[in-house]
Amino acid sequence: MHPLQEEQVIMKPRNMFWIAIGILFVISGIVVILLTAGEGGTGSMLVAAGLALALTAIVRHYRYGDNPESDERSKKIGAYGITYAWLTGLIFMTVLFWLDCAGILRLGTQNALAASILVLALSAIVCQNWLLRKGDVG
Amino acid sequence: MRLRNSDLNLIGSVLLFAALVMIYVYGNDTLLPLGLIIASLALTLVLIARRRRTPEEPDSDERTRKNGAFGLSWSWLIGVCGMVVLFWADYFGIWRPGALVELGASILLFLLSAIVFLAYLSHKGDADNSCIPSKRNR
Repeated sequence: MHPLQEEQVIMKPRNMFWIAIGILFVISGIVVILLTAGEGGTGSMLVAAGLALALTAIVRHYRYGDNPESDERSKKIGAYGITYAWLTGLIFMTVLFWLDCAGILRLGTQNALAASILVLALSAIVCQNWLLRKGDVG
Repeated sequence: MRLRNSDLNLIGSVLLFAALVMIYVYGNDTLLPLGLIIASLALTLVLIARRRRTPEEPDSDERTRKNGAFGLSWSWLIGVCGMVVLFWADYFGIWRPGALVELGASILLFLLSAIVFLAYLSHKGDADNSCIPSKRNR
C-alpha cells in the first residue's frame, strides 16, 4: 500500500449510506417544492430531514473517522444523560397538561408538542454535556 | 433524601383529606381534588410496593441503576418518535384530537414504554451491549 494511503481516512459504509439517504431526501423535497409551487410543508420537511441526516453523517465522519464512536463510559454517560432528560420532559409535559386542563395556559396542540420535543432534546444535550464534562456518572 | 414510610403515609393522608374537604366545600366541579386523590393513590401504591420488599434487600445497586438508565433511554427514544409522529399527524390534519389528548397520550407512551423496557431489562438481567443500537448497526 502507498504510504500516503495509510493516512487517508476511509468513510464508514454507515456514514456513506446516511449521506446518500440524506441527499435523496433533499432531492425529493426540492422536487415536491417545485411541483407544489412552494405550498404545503411536505417539501420543506423532506429537505430539513435530508439535511439533518447528511450533516449528522458528515460531522460523525469528521469527528470520529474510522475510530470507534463510543466506549463503555460514553455509553453509560449517554444513557444517564437521557434518563435525566426523560424525567425533565415528563415533568414538563405533565405541567403543560395540567395548565391546559385548568385553562391557565392553552398553547394549542402543535405548539405544546413542539415545545415538549424541544425540551426533551435540549435537556438531553445539556445533561449529556454536563456529565461528559464531569467525567463520570456519580 | 429518602422519605420514610410513615412520612409517605402522612403526606398521602393529608392529600386525601384536603381533596375530601375541597369536594365538600366547592362541590364536584373542579379538577384539583381529582388530582390530589390521584397523587394520594400513587403514594399509597409506592407504600405498598415498599412494604412488599424485604428490609435487607437494597433499593438499588450498580446493575439495577444501569438497567434503569438504559431502559429509560429507550423509552425516551420511543416517546420522542411517538411525539414527532403525533405532531406531523396533527400538522397534516390526519388526526386532530386536541392538545389535552395528545399530551396525555405522550405521557402515557413515555410511562408505558418505560415500564415495558425496565421489566424487559430486569427480566433479561443486564443491559449488555446487544441492546445498544449503535453497536448493532456497525
